[in-house]
Amino acid sequence: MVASELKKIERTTMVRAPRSRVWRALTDVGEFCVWFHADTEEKAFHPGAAINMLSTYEGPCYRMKFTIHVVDMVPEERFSWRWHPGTNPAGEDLSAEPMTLVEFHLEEAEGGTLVTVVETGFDRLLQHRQARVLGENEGGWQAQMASLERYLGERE
Amino acid sequence: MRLSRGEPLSIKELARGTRMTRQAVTKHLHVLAGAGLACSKRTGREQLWSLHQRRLEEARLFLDHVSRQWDERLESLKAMLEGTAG
Repeated sequence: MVASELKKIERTTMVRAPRSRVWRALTDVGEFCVWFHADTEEKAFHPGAAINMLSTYEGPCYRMKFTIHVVDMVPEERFSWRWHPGTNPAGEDLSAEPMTLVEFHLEEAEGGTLVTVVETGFDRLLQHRQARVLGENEGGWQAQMASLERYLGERE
Repeated sequence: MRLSRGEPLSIKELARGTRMTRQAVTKHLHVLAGAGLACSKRTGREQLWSLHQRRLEEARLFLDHVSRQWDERLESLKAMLEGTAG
């Protein structure tokens, strides 16, 4: 595993469409829902908005709820949001977990537009999850020690 | 990374036989440690590093999954904009 992947996932693709068209596909809620396979009652993305969505992607995530917290929108250049990545088919409460930051960057290229998506913050998320697991184990040990103490106390 | 074989190793031992500098190895280890996937302890004059195998494997699966999701979404975006199926 490359350690830098813990910090960042980055993908770039060339789309044969003008930058303005790609921008619309990313930031018009209706168009976004088509390619992202999602459904929402909200009408528009804007910085500071929290957009609740349902996944329409076939599979274990079908009808899974997720929220996009819009950070920044620079027309035809950058669109960014925070969210809880991955799948959560059991609908766990993730509100205590650090969110990752997703950024789309658009760049004009010959014959189309370069679309780059960068997602960062996995190290903080993983750190949080490790701490939670460690906390749970500690709780386990504390419970066992308490039970041992009770047992020893009873025998005295 | 050789640490995943198990025993704790020093930075010097880790950098040996790779094209990475000690500084690069140190940087990687600090990233892993920051995510709770590696830890170090000082024994005498040396600092030895170990990896948390199971956690690292879980992290790898999670990140692979998230990466694959992005690949699929970008494919889908491309298909929509270029007017091909999808």
